[in-house]
Amino acid sequence: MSGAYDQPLPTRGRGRVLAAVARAVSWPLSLLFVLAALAWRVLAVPARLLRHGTHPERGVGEGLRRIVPTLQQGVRYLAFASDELPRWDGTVRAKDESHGPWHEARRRIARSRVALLAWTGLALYLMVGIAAQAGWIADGYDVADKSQVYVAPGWFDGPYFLGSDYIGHSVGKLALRGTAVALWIGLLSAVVSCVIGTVLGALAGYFGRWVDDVVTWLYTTLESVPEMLLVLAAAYVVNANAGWREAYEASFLAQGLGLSLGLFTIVAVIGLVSWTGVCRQVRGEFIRERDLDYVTAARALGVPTGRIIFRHVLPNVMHLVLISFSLLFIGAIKYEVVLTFLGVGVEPGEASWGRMIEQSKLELLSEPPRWWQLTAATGMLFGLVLCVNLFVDALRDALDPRLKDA
Amino acid sequence: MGTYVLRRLLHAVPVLLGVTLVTFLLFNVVCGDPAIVLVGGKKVTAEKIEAERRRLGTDRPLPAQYVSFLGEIARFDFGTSWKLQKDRPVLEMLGEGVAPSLSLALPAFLLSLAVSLSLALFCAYYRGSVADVSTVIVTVAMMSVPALSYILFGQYWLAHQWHMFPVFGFQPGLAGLASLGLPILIWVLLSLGSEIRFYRSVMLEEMRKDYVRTAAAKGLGTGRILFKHVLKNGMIPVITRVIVTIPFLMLGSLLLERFFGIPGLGSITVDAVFQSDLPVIKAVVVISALLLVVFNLLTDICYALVDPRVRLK
Repeated sequence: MSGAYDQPLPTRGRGRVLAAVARAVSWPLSLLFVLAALAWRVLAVPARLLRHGTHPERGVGEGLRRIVPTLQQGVRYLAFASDELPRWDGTVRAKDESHGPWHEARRRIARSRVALLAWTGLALYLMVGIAAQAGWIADGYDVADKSQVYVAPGWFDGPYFLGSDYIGHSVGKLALRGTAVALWIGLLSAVVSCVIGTVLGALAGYFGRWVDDVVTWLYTTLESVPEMLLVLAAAYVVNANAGWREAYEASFLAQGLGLSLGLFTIVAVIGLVSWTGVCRQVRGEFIRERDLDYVTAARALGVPTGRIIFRHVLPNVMHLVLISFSLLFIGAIKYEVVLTFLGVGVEPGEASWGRMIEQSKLELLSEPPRWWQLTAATGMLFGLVLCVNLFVDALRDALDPRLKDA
Repeated sequence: MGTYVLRRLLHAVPVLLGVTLVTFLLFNVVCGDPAIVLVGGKKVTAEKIEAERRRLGTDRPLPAQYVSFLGEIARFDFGTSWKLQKDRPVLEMLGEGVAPSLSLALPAFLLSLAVSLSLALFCAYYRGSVADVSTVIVTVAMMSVPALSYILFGQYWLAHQWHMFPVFGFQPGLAGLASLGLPILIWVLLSLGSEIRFYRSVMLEEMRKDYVRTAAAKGLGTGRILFKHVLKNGMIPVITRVIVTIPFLMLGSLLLERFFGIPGLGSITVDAVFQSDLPVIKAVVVISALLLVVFNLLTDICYALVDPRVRLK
């Protein structure tokens, strides 16, 4: 292999400084990624012990030996000595191996200033979200101090650097904590709809015939009911049916995972309603791919059908899924605001941007206008959605093969 | 052509059946018994619920209920409202909501279409330049602000502080135009980003085709190629998008109508959901699905008329 795939990431010229900044800012995320890749390698050791025992070429020793290159590559990347991460499953590119199309996409993104800025912002949001979830920042966001109601913002006023709300919560802490909630909502609902859409679309596109008919009927039907009405109907279901709420409170999701009914409703509703777009795209792409030579060859070699679908064809349409994932992610975060306004969103005790906006409905019109809660929530949401939007644009350009020659 | 239309019509039948099935399941099974919702309260005796159930027909087996539900839809008989305006025919209520919804949606839609098409052409003309990139970034930024924040800030600054628009309210006819100004503005700001992105990519796609190169080789200027050739050929996806949007226009915008006190279909729907007014919700879901199916059918037929190749597929 030679050509575009083998070019290294640019280190000079356009966006060099921005690229360095983006990489430095997202260093903690890279660390997490490297740790995850290493975890795969470490987990493989006991698996090898069970399967191959102490076989000299396939046993524990090989498992331990394979940790080394992953560790080396990870440390080199984190020390800014290399610009190539180990892959998510812990494998490392061999010297004579091609970089592949994803590296090409990264190269294109590293050349776009807008994309680098958007990535930097996104990385900051992710880190704030992780820190808030872990309780490192925004600790005590749910402490209400009734004597400190509607404190105006003051930059060095301890917890009230962004003011306080009507019962004395710190607005700044709510906004930071809301980042974690927003990321949860976006990730979970995007995962649910992408999994449903991809699996159904892949099956329909690959098998055709009646499977295709059924899946096509399913998504045409769902698309024929306007999305907003389905969401409203679900809102009605939750509001009107008290038995439903009791059943949920007793279930594993509430008791074991601590997922509140509001969050669960949002994720379930958005996830179940918005998979149609992904499904349509994946199906179309599978129809195109299923008659190509590499699929015929795999079939002739007797590769099991499931393996062909998910290991041979699916990686070739993953870029479409990734783009839909990002769009669904921001769609869900924006929907949360509307749903909270309609009374099906997150519960009163939780911090979410939607709840903050909903609560500050009348605060502007009071005298003097209390603008800080609305402004904080709007600003946080705007930043996240803008970063993802701009990054998706760059991603789409980077992954679109038709643009390669442009 | 006749067989094509017939085939498309036959395709629409299972979809319509599916929509009615989804509606039926959602409101009669998942929601629990409508009789309990209707009678409500804590001190209701079992006999009273039983009587209500018999009156509504929900004591029969589910398939029988579904068949009679289909019958109601076929006769376009959606019954009377339970809560919003007690005992008024649902269709009459919804009919009243169409005009206010359209008076907001139609001007807003046309305005955003005109602005986004011209901006998209501008971007395509100066593609890759600072002007192009910054237009896209600014419109994407406008799209990234949540609708509720636009409404709240707009009502405060533009209407309350600067008196550019009335804060709230709706009047039929031309007199109401002033009060529609702010919601229309917000609608346009919210929709510009995605519209421009779409139209811009349509135009750029079109510009990569062979006939554009031929025109350029003949010596035509960029402006002439863009407005005379590319715009015309790019109209097909544009028109499709417009036709598909029309049913959504009739449904109106839920948040805008509610916050600006416009008595359109959107705010009727929200009220119906809040007050559990089942017949109204059912009618809105079924009618909007019908509209969508019909308009999709129209799009397909238009396609077949314009492009004979489609019929053979």
